[in-house]
Amino acid sequence: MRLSARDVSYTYPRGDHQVLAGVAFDIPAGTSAAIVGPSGSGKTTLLSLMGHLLPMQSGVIAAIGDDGRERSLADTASWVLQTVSLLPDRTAADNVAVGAYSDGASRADAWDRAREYLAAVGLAGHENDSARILSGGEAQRVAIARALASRRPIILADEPTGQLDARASATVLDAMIGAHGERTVVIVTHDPEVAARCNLVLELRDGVIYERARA
Amino acid sequence: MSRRVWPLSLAAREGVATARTGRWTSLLMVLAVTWIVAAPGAADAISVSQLMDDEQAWIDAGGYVFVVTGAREDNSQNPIPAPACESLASVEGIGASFALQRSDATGTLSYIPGGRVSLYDVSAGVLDFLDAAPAGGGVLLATTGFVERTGAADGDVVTIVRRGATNTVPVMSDPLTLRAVDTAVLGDEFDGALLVPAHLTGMAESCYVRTDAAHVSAVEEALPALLAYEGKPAIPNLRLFESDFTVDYTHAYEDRSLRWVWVPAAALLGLLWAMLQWFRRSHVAIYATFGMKPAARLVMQLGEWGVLAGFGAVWGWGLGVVGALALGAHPAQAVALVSFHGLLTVVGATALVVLLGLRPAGTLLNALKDR
Repeated sequence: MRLSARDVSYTYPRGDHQVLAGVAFDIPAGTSAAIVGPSGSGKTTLLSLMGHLLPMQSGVIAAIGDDGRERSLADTASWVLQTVSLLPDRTAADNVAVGAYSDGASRADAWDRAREYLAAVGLAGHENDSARILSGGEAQRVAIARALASRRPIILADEPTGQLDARASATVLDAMIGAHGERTVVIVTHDPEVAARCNLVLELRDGVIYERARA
Repeated sequence: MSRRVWPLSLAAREGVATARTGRWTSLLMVLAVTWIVAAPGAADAISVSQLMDDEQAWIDAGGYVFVVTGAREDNSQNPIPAPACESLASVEGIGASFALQRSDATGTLSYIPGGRVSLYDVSAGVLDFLDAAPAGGGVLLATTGFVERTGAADGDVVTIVRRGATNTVPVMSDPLTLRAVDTAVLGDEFDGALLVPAHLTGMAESCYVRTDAAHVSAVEEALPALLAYEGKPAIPNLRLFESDFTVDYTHAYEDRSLRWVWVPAAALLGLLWAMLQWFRRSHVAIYATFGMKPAARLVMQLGEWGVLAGFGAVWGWGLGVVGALALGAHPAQAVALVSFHGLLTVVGATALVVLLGLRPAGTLLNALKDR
């Protein structure tokens, strides 16, 4: 699924600073893209606009299917947030299964996916661990596994490796980005190594997107 | 293959799993339901039982008893037709009735010389009225005061020696079986006297009528005509004085303040549930983020609520009944009122749970707003 933005501008109501000024990008289907930039450059604002958390002031952001029809990001995208959000009283597998259920998986299928994606993020054998006892990094990986288990064609991630060491970070990026063409991935990150793993790097500076690299 | 996302059965199962794994949260919610189901019903059962005891004591003292006399005319009082009074027991709402005529004679028991006491001739309905057992050959009703003073005992076979006010020639009755009765329901003036059931065919001085809370107004309205003398209505008076300062037992049950205590109880449970949902709003957001629609979310929350409220209600019912019984409630009241309040509390709280569940939920993305 392709992600396309045209002429997206945004100014916060309480200030006169224009955070985004005519942003435009095009992320082809099956591509991984990193959005980078200094703090306050508008990365999270752009992500919020994708999720319709902030009302569009001008421009358009669209998810476009292979058939050329526009689709709702709410139905096609999975999110991985910097703030870990798990069901604390449930097991790691239960949490991942929630993602699978959003794809219409049966219980058995959801458990199979939970095992598969927990293993993919390096948490094989932790299926029955309570989310309450997981470390921050483990919880972050469970959240990523949950997003993967949903098998939605787009993953939007805000600093998904923020709490991971280099090795774990590499593991989850392998799982997220996966084989080329499997899904479209957009990652907001400060980490140059994460950006380097992506096919496309979009740098936000002074409210404008600069495409830095395309692999 | 196209499969339905978050079918309701799966949502319900998630709710049950949340309740099962909720640990302290679930335990605290179950405890809250337990106490909120138990306390109002138990309090009301104790209150109603006390009310019933008070009312029974009031009835035993003469509550719901009418003393009907004729109207006063020309410094004299019209009589009451005794057969009409005796037949009132067949009227709906009247439990028992009897006619009473003070005798001019005084009497003593033949084997207890001296101590002449007042005699009252009463119609046969007095036996039902005072719950005295009949006996072959007739009975004599001795009041508690008489029995205590003379040493006579219930079941003694006695004869009465009557002496008129002016005629000093005593008249001895046939042998009668003595029945000791509590005449408090009739008033203190009968204490120490003897009541002689007789076949009163003419007129009587007064008629005693016993009714109940449900019929007291209708009976009071009907009595003047039913006991009219020559077309002149009789005058019914409640035997016990009533005023704004006495308890109105006719309406006390309906007017009791605890009758509606299930309403604040249900509201309190709803508030606790709302607080729980607010503290756990990120949990709901996770499900909403992963495609759970409002109907499935509602079913999930009802699944969790059902488990917690179910356990709490069962324990609360048991605790409420046992607590009410331990604190003196009548068993029937304890069971009925704890069930009544418990059921309405849970139903009312469930309605609030549904209303809260219908409110729109945020998604995980809302967390971005705070940054």
